[in-house]
Amino acid sequence: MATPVLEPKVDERLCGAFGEPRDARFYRRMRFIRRFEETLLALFEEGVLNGTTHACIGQEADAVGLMEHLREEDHLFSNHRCHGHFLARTGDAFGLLAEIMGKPAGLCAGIGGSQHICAPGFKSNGIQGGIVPAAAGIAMAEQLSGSDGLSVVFLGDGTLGEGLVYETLNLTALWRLPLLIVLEDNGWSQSTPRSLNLAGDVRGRFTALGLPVVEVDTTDVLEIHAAARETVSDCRLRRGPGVLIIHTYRLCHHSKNDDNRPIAEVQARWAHDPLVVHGARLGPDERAAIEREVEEALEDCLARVRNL
Amino acid sequence: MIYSRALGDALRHALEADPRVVLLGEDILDPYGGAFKVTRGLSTDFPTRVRATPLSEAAIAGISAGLALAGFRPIAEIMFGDFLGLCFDQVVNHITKYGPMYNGGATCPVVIRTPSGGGRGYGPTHSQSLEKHFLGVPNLRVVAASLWHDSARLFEDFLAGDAPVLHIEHKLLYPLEVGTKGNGAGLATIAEDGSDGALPTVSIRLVPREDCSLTVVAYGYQAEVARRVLERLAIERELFAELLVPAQLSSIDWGPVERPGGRGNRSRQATRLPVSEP
Repeated sequence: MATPVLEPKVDERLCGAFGEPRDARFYRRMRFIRRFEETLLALFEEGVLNGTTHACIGQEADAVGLMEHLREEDHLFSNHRCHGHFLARTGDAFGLLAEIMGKPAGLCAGIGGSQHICAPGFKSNGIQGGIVPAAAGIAMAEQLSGSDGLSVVFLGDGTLGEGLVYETLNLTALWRLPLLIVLEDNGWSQSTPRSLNLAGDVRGRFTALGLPVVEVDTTDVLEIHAAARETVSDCRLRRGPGVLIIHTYRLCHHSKNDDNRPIAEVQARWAHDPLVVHGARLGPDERAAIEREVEEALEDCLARVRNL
Repeated sequence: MIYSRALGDALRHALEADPRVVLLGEDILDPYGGAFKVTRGLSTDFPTRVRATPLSEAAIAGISAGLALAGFRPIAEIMFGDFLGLCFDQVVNHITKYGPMYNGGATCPVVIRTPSGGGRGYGPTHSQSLEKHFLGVPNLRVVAASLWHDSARLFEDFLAGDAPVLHIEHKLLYPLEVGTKGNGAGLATIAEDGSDGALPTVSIRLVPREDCSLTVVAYGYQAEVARRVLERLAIERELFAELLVPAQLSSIDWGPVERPGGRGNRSRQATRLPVSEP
């Protein structure tokens, strides 16, 4: 499979050169997102960043696997945990880092910051359920204008507590909007486990409205890639809605240093780290070479942003 | 022509003039045509762009936001202004926020129109004037309909710009005849004033401005109430006042109030308190 076209400003060391084999490309992109997030956390430690950030460490495979199936005309709406989605979509580490560091060269001139990103085909906002109708409205615009574009929205299991989500699901099903809902269920809503938040089952919330659901419980990027292909192609074929549920796990804290989850639970999940799972498919030398290139590219990027 | 009809014609004109205009709202389809009949006839002539929604006020606002982000010009009807509470997050944290927080990288020109106010006996949750809670929301234009502001002109102005708009329609205006020069304001003179680029403020008076001893500022239906009171004051007490009727409440154009010749330093503003009209 050929590498999807990315904008020329994208660093090949982060996203892969054209024609790079799929397994290497997936590993590189997940590694890129992981190290970007870790870089941000280090910058907080250093005192260079203030405010907050929500790292997606452990969930990198979701965005990387899905994004392979999206086209330029598709639109993606993301939430507070948006860096991985954005980087997998655009590869623009410089624009995002400059934004988070409050630089005028950032994507939104440093005004939006970590949770409020706007780029061609991409937006994010920090109020959870509220982005779902916006994504549905974009899908409606695509339907009204007869375009082939798909609107995609990322939400988490915690967001299933917000009533507006259900208003929007109803309308999406009723009007057959070309909206793909990607639910990243990481089992924890900030500090509260799903068992204290959700009654019933997650899938039933969608099937009750007649929305087709593809559900996976994995951190393996290849399995996510296959599931995403199924749901995206189904949405395109029917020009209608779809739901992709990915049961995953957040390996890091919610934002910066707020993690009260049982240590044993978190440690056990590191065995399913998507970088470990997928990294095993590459030889040690190949893996090391990718890691080195990602490291150098991010160091260059950080140096450029620091000098702004 | 009564106000609800004039407003319906303005919406029809918007749909005809701009293929990006989409109307969303509860019960707005024919033959019902909306709780106050403003959209009657529109769904028959524009079936794909006039859409009835479930009772989902937050989603009406949110889907409008997405349509607007994608380049459409949604005009959403919220059946009663009291239901704006259900849309508040979409207005404050989404619709008005996208443009500034993305540094202009996107615009979200949603128009929300809603009947407000009391006087119809609808009780505590269907009679309020909740627009006060939206005054001062950054990047939001709050505009009140009146009998002397041409609806078509207002909506042309909304659709020509990129700012989100909350259009307040006092429900007692719907059955009243709209005013024009020499009609709808008794013997008064009607003139327009306003700073550059602002929607006009209407000035209603029986004598020249410099001969008025008081300036009253009122919007919406209260402007019509004020006009009747001021007419009586003039006839019964020979006390002459200028009535100023702004269209845009937030941000308001103070120019016409403060202009020399008027009596702005002694002005009184009229609005109804939300609980005063069961």
